[in-house]
Amino acid sequence: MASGSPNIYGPKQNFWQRHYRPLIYLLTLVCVVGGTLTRLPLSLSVSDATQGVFDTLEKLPELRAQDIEKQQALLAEKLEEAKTNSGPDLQKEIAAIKDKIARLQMNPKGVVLVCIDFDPSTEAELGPMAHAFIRHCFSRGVKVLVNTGGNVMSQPLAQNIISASATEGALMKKNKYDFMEDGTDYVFFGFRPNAFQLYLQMGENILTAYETDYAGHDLTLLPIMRGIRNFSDIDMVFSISGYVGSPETWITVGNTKFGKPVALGQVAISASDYYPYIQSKQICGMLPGLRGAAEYEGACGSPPRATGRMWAQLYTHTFAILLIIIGNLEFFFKGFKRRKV
Amino acid sequence: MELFTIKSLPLWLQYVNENWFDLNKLNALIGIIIFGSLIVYFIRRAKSGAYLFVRRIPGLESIEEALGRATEIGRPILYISGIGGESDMQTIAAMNILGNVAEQIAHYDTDLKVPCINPIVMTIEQELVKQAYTRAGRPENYKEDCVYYLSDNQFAYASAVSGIMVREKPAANFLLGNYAAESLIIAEAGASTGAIQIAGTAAISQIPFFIVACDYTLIGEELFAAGAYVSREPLLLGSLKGQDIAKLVIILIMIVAIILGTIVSAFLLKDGFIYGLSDFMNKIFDLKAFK
Amino acid sequence: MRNYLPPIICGVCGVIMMLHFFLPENTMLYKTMMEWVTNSTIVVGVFGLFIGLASLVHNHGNRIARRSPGWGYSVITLSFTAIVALTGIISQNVGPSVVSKPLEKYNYDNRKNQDHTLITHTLFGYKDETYKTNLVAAASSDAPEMKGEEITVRKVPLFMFFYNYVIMPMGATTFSLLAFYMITATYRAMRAKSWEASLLLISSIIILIGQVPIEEIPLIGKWIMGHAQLIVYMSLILYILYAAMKQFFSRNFITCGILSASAALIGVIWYYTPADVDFEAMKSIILNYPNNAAKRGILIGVQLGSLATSIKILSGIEKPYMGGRG
Repeated sequence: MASGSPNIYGPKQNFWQRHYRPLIYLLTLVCVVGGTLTRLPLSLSVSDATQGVFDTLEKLPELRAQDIEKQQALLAEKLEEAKTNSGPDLQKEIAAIKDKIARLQMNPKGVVLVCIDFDPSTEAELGPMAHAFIRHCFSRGVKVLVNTGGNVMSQPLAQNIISASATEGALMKKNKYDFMEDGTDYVFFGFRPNAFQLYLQMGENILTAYETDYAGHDLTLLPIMRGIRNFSDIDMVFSISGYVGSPETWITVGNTKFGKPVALGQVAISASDYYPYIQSKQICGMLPGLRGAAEYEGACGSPPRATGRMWAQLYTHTFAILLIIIGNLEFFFKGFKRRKV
Repeated sequence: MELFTIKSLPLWLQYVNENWFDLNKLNALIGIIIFGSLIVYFIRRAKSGAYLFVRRIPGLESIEEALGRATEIGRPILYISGIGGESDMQTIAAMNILGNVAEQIAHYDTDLKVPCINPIVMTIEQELVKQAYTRAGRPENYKEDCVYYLSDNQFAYASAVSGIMVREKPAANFLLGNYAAESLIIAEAGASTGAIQIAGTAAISQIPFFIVACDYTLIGEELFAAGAYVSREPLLLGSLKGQDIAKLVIILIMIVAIILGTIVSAFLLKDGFIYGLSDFMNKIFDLKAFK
Repeated sequence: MRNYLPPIICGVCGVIMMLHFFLPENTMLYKTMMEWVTNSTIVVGVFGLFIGLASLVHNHGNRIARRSPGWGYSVITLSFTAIVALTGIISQNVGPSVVSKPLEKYNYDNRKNQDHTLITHTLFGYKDETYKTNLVAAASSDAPEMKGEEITVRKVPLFMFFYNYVIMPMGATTFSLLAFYMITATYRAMRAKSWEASLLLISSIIILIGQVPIEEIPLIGKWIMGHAQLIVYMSLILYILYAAMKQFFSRNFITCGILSASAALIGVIWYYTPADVDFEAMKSIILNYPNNAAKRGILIGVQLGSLATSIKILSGIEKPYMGGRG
């Protein structure tokens, strides 16, 4: 008999043993509804994983300045070399470095690529973290590029999130900001199939990977894209994914291949899979589930969407712990009863 | 101290690094060559008739029991190869097992249902099942509708599969492949109907759910070993053995690296042979070893 | 030909992708290969979408034609596939109306993003959250002159209506089933039947508590949070002593001795544990150390298995695309 069959108690059953499933479902519903109706404030301590994401975003202007310095040092080296050897290849290299420096200087506060790769089923956990992160970017003057992963269902969701975040600057508890313009402060690339190949091509040229934004506007005409050509002009990647495989793709492409800091936003079930990457510094941080989203909202002053939902999680977890205790007491007492007989 | 840098290499190697071969990935190439050689060696040994021990995997031993049970009760067998695409290794491993399972089912003349989430996987599995029935000598028993596409949305697929389980009450459920959040929904739905359930996935976060709700669970690489285990073909057994020896090599490298790293940290070494060796061992798996 | 061509294509494409991995990134060959691979996979992916649609129509069409059991669901599936596809194709301006109140200070006529209609859904219809809440925020903020007066009627795309009011709630509903299944699975599975199950039980309770702000629970929350070490260590020690007692009464004195020594060792570890280690810290320790160790072990095995499977497919040992063994 399958271990998961309903008849785990054998032939003689009391009321609880006969009806434990619907009773547990009902009590879980009560916990969730009760948590949703609880409107009290909640303060949460920020974990290291969440702090990693926050700190990396705060340090973006520094990272960009370091990048510019590196390029300027390289330019000086090449110019020195050009005094003795003025071949056409060297001139091309010098022109490319100058162009790169000009692009980097256009966005001194940094550029972030946010990959919104989830669908409505995981929106409850991942939506608030997307909102919070994008609002944090806007409040710091960081330019935001938004794309989606391999699932077309993410597109309308991403559209809603980026539009709402662009105009809800006044809702922030701290770090309020003005309205953000599409095409100047952010751009949403929309959905394209076969995301992995696209990410690789972004390393070469974003304008060939995505020729237009989601609304069909030519990317070459958008002001934001003047300073962004490929991955080397992006300072950080934040992948919010409800799908298996997508975070590994970004770790491979973003961090291993292009050497950019990658942060992840994950549902709680999958979050434990990615702690090894934090330890090996392949990702700079992670927002694990609803708790991570609530911590980040508190840290950056975003409206408390996830924090409000934490009450439901609190009540449900407490109920789960009570059930575990009850189940184990039942198990132990059944053992005593059997020995008595 | 850096053991190697690009600038320390001879000019011709620097030229090769810039134009033909990224030397940072040399360790990956060497790894593939060693790994491939091990596989080839053990395949040759298997083909020459040598006995290659593979430990017992309970989940795979019970496949025949599950098929027999389904035939006796007269109910169908449900085979789900996960939500991965055609290039997903777990889906490929699941398809390997499907071929063997379908061949056995053809002998028993039991109904097989294979709902798919990916249309390309569906076309591959249709061909696979058809070939399996032909190999078993029962091509007339193959039904075209047994492999079908449901939806590419994860939860729409999970709802549809749960509905199939509750309505058609299959006697045996095979849940093999790449799973995400829908694993528990499908496994619990199957458990509530009383079917025997054999699950297997390399998606680490879903393994606990399968262990709770299913009778047998293949964990991680047991799924990849399944093709070799079930068919006992020398080619597949040899590659399984090669894979295990490669794992042993990696474990030995890790143990040596840990011992050396511990010595370096304990004695605060900053140069010398042991420090150099420890640094080298740390960089063996680094794809940016040459800075 | 049928037996040779697919493995040749598979092998050649695999070798091309491997070469692509080893090429330096700034070479012309790398860029050309990259473009070719990207375009090819996009084309194949799009054809895959068509195959999916064709398969859906074929399968459900057959069910309707044969009046198979449950053919009514097939009618619903096909009709909604057609309806949603059509709503996406027809003009973006067709749809229900939404009344919105832009802020006076920010003249929306001159701003690009006025084309984005910011909608959130409630149980009873649209809620134009952005504008209303901005008004509320503005009214209570230091800038009361920002109260808006203009009213604009905007059209909402019907496609977004379906997405926000059908797909989003249904997707969220199906995922939320998981919570209920997980609670029942937790109740059934989390029993201290063996020492491994007990370890699982204790670590899962630590993580369940560490994940939520348990001090917010009235009456006992603060006590639980403040006495995390007492709860965890005491439970461990008591359970081990209980197991030791069972072994003693079964006359397994050596096992009893080992278990008693383990309980004493845990007591010593408790003595040296810093006072600030609470459930959240314990959760971090469990996630960062034993969890990482186990995950890495499984990951290495899984990746090696994937590598072996890839080599077998590229070399033609396994041919899943040709019905298993070709």
